[in-house]
Amino acid sequence: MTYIALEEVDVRAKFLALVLLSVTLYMASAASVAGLAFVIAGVYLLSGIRLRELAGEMKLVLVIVAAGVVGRVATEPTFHGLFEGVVAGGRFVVIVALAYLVATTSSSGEMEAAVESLFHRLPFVRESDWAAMFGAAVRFLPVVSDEAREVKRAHDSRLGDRRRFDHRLKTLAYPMLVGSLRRADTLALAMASRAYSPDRSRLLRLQWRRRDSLTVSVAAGAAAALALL
Amino acid sequence: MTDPLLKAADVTCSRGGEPVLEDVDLEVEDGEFVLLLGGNGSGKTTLLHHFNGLESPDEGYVEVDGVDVTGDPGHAREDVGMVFQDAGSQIVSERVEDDVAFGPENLGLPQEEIQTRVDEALESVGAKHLRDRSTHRLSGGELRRVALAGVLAMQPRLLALDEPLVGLDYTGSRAVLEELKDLNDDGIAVVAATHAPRRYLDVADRAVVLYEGGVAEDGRLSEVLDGVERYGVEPVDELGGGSG
Repeated sequence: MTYIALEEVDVRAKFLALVLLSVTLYMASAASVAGLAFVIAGVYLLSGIRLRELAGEMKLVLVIVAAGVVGRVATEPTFHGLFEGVVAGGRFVVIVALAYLVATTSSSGEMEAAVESLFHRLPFVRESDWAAMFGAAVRFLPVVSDEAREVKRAHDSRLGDRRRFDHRLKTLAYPMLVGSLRRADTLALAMASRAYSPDRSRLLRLQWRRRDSLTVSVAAGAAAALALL
Repeated sequence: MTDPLLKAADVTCSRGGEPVLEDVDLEVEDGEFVLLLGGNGSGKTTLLHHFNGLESPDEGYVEVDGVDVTGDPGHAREDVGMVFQDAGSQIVSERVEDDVAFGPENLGLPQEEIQTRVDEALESVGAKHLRDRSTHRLSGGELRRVALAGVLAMQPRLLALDEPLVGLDYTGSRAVLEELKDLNDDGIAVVAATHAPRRYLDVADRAVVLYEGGVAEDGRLSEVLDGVERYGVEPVDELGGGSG
């Protein structure tokens, strides 16, 4: 239900709410961060997304957070250092969870249109190019991830690379980089072959409604509360 | 006499100092179905790229409907729809409907017209049910249909297809060939590059063989196929194979 309601909200309102909450999170106390994390976890549970599924999607984020906490403790090996590290990691996880919520309740076309609409107000920015870049990035990320998986499988099929970690990294990174560049080149050709033009029209037109203003107001209220509490 | 829909004259092109195409002459009329045959590295893909303005000749020229492609690639891209060998690599959007709409959006068409074209294109390739699917989760056959729909939505007069049947099983190949036959019957010219002509016997009228960058044969498909294996093309009476 919550999920469907979020799908109905204009992506621009979701983007604005995400920016407001993300910026304020860095001023918020540990208790406020924990409070917001509980609210978001509630939204996820109501939306039917299983937390295990979410954890799977956020595996890399959790690794980065864990590395950050370890790094913080290494520079300040006290309980305070650990506490600060966990809070900083918590902020990062909450922001990523918010962004994931926006991404899963919006189509790529809507997000592209939102980028175009928001950048339209900025001077010296060709909004359609930015929107196209955003769309290409959204399309490209799973392609890069596939590339990485294929390279890894190719290694495993030859009994893997049992040498040192830096060697393993090098033998994975090089073919991945080459493959990704080749795919990027083909994507550019594909866009050109279909007459890509910055002066393009849009199938999708976003419409700002009252519920979108309400969403931004609620996010602004929550951001103010986070900053003050 | 009217101009051909596509005319390539003395097209010469090299890459890294190595010649890829040498003095290639080719004309395609409205409504023709031409097979571009040749082995690996014979220049088929490079020649197709010239039709759509993705590559420019070092010498010679390519015209689409009498307009020089190098001078006005936008015109060629409206008239010539290009489908790559790896259909998945030409998908530019994350959602099927958005991807099919990409071309018409680039033409600056009004929203209603884009919607109509997207609906018609998806319908014509039997992919209406895929409209809201993520392009990342499509099978090989579905990707090829979506790629074709994305090109058809631009309402091209000529389809340039690079190995359109490669990687498809018998059922998938038949479905794509029937779609191509229907489109060709509707008046859209088709140029399909392949090294395995067997599956096209019922649909193609003419074949052009590229060998070492030049046109080695050009004629009716049945006539050209005799002894075609000497150019690296799979002979029609050979069992198995027939991938592209």
